[in-house]
Amino acid sequence: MEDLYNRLRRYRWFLLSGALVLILTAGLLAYNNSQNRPQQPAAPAPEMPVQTYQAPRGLSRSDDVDLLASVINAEAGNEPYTGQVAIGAVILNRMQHPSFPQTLAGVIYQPHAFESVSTGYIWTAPQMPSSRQAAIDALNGWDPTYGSLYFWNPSKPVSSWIWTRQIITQIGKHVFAL
Amino acid sequence: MRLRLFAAAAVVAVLVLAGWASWERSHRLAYVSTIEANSQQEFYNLLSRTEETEVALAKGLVANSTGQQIFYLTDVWNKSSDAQNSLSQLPVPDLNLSATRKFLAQLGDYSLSLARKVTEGSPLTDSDRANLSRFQAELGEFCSRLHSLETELHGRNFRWVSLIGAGTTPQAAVSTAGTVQAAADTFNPFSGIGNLDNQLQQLPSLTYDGPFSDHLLRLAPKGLTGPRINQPEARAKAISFAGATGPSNVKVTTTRRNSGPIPAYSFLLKTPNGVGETSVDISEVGGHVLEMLTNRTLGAPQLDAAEALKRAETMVKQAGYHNMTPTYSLREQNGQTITFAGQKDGVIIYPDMIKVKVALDNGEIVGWNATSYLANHHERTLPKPRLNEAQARAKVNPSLTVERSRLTLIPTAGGNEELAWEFSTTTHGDRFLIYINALTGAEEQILKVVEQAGGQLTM
Repeated sequence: MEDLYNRLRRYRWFLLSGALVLILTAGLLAYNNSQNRPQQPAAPAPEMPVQTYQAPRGLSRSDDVDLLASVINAEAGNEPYTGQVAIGAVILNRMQHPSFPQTLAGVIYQPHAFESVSTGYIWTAPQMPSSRQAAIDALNGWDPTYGSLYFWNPSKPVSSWIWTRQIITQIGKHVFAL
Repeated sequence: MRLRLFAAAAVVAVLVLAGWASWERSHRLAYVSTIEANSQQEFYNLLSRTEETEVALAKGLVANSTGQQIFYLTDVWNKSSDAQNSLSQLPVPDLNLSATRKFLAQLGDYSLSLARKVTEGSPLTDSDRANLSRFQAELGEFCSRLHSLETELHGRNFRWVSLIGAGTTPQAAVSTAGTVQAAADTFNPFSGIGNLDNQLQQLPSLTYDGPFSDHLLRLAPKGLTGPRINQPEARAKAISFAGATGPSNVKVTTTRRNSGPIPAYSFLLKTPNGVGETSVDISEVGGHVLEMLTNRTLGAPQLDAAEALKRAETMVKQAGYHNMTPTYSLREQNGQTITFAGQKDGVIIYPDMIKVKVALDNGEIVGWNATSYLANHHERTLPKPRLNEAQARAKVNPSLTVERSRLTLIPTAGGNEELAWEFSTTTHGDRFLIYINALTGAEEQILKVVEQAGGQLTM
């Protein structure tokens, strides 16, 4: 036992640096593997013969529900349910307003528009089961904010400009304004 | 021996570290370049699309045939929408460009509404041309400022990525931060654009038949009737409404006020057993129930769509709305949302809309939305149709099979209402709703009905 300890002691630097090299190499390899190689663009589809009427297929709004639910989840996952529907409603109201992008993705991914998108929390936030339901209710026209375009948490630092907006109501931690 | 071993290991470690660092750096550069390229692309796209909009607008103004007018006016809409989209995606911090974005969106929307008007046979008026000329002048100004910005950015070898994280704290839902930050010590190439935005804020408002018309932003609700009520009265109404829709013996936990276009009291109610919460909004004028939503997990369906419809119809009658007709129904996550439209003298009044959500597990009403009804409903004098059903049917594409027809009042994009014949038609298994104006015979609207697992969507 004594003998093994002494031997380990003598070679401790060698063993330690060996371990370091191993760890670094393994880390490097793992990181490298996790990166996706760029895909070659798919070959263009062959041209379809001309038809008088082609029924559109695959129409659904499940993509809208997915997108809206993830913002609601990240921005208001711990808010009361009405507050979650309210976030969805603000995003949908923006789509109807000329000062904002006209698509759902455009509104959500507009630079500096949502904190959770800027920080990446939108992709890592734990999924709350209610956010999907809230997204559906908002898409079906429920709007507890009555047309609001902005929301913010007054306990966090926000631009003073935002307080010049016409405040509609406060739900949970968020203030909603036109 | 030990020292030599240590030295060798250290050299290997340093080499590996250096390799890793340079590999990291090259990857970081690749990411940064991708973001930079995206931003530059959006900026140059904005510039060229703005120029193309200006050219299309100029051509539309000189075009003499309706065909060319329609073509260029539609082109203005297409190019300016794309310009607006690119402007929205530029990572410009602390700069309010909302008036510029509105300007581009409204220009496109206005042009499209004019194109539609010309399609329907009304020529451009002098005031239409004056409005277009005003847009053209502003657009020219915007274009020249974009050009000088481009020269400056290019000359300074400006990098958009330098704006990322540079003293800008992203704020929740604050996309536009009021004032132009004209910090004297930092290079601010955007001040010219910011000043133009202030200028554009002063533009006179424009009213036309399109969704971005200014009159729609300050539309007063038409359907709020009755005396103003106070909070205890509203509270009693909320409790009785929640009692009618679901479990009785509810308790108010939170009360707040809504000072929006429809001032209202909002109540949050809890049932004694604590299953779910219900929020109810009662309008201050007349004490109408605007919205109600219950939050609880809906269990496996015990009711079918027909049963849910019966419950919803009962609820609508109970709430005092008679003459309502169910129009659409959609099932999502064990809840059935049924849309009702008003009815008068046999005409379906689409703007007077009420939505009811029924829980399919126990038939409770878990959602109520009468905001559209209360915003739009008023005493209407419906015009007499000038086209009868057969005359209107002759305007429908003959390749469609008409299954049902009825007279409807439909909302236009600009908030007006038109009397129209609605034809429910099919072709190749696809369903379309065709609306023929009952006064002019114009094909007003085409809706595509998308069949979903538990109902239909219209697009």
